Amino acid sequence: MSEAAVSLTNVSVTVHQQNQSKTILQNMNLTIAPQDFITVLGTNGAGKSTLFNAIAGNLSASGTITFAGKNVTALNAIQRAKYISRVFQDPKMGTAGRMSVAENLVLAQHRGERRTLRGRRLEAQRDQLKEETAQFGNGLDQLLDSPTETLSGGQRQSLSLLMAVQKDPALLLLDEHTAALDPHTSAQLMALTDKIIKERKLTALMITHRMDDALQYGNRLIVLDNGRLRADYNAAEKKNLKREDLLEFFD
Amino acid sequence: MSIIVSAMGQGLLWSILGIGLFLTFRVLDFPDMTVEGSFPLGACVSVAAITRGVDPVLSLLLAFGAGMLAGLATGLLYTKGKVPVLLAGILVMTALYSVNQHILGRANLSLLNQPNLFNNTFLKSLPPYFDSVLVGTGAIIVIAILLMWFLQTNLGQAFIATGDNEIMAQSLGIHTDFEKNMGLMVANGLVGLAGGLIAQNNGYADVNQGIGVIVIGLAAIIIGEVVFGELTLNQRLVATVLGSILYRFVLLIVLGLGFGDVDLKLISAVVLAIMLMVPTVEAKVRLQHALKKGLGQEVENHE
Repeated sequence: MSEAAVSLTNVSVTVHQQNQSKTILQNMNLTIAPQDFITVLGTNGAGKSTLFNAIAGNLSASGTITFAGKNVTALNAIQRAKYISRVFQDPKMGTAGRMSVAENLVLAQHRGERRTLRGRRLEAQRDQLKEETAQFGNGLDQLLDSPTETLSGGQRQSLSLLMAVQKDPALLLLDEHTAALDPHTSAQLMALTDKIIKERKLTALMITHRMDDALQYGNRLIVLDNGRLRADYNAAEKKNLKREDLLEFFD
Repeated sequence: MSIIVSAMGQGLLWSILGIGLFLTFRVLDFPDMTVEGSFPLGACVSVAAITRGVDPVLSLLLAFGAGMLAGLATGLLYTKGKVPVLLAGILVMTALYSVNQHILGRANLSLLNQPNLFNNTFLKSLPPYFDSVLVGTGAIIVIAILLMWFLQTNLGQAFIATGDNEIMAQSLGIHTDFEKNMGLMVANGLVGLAGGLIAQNNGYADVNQGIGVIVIGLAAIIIGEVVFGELTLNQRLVATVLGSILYRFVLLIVLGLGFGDVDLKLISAVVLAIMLMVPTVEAKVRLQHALKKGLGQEVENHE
């Protein structure tokens, strides 16, 4: 077996509030193989977002986290950006609102790099950016020079996704990235997400509340409950998994 | 005529302050009070240096450097000390009041019989006030070109993104604390430079000359925005320069109405308050909408 893309060993997150400490992620052990596309299910407060924040370095966690064998536990969120890209649930969070679509994309091409005094080379890439944005079929390619705050939610999330894969990340974190969209737009973006992950052979974790999406997409499914890993289905098990089998986790 | 040239010259010199403030107030999106200290700091450093025999142009570079240090002090309090940025600026501004007195050795210092950038034979040969127009234009062109170039680099884009969406910037690996410190340093460096230039133009430095300068800088930015509307970033820099000149004309008109120099600060604040309320008032009374509707109805009446 090849080296794990990402591995979590005994990862716990404890928050302290008013002299009380609460563990919201307990001794999490998770090994993610290269090109795994794992869907993450769980009730509110199960620890899904905490898991993402721990991996991305936004929360301090105990235990050990490695990316491709490299121990990143001591790195902060900004330093981990070299390995991880993330699409947020809120369309406003993933893009710089007053900067244009093209500017946002070029910004994301340098994810995790030192920002230097070299020109951004936006014009030289215009044709390529147009082509990349056209694949969504939602008019984004016509809006390359528009500030992103003028875009629709669906356009903004498409852009966030495209930004996240501008530079292939070691791990793509999708944090309910279609939840804020209408069913039609959501289904469209989900299908494209799947296509991009497969084409670029990315490793991804996706939180979702839509059980059908969790079953339809990805090659592995995990269920979190009360800060623990409740279930972990591999590709073969996941194929035979049905909606009803998952409902027991949500009563 | 000469009064108009004078207003233009003042507007151009003060526009450097407006551009500096634009970097923090509009790009980084927070109010930086440091300018009320870094402006007189630049003035004091420049004048004190000249009286100690430093070349007037070199003294302006010192003023720029001193302003940058003031910006760094605010930046470190804000990013490392976690002091709210408004308070951090006020702390540095207050501290600088003492520092400025030490630099100057007294409350004010004249450049009488001292070398001065505006005191050379060529500038002296021009009609009155053309010297400040020429120096102001030259300085602001160099500054604007450098800034427009910088904002199009990868570092400049990361700087803009930091002010626009900090969480996103961090998720792209942008060191947002570094960007904020850099922005505060460049901004206050420019403000210090403006202070030095204006002190040489006035012929003296005064530790009290920082009072209210933030209002003057904001007025330039906001008049530019209200008058010129939706613009690209580069155009907004130019609009701020024009706003700074327009502000001087507004003052001229107000002074022409019979108000005295004593009233200048009050008038400055009132002008800025009115400009700040324009968008709100605009949204409330839907002036443009009403105007268009009025025009439309007129057309209908004709038919």
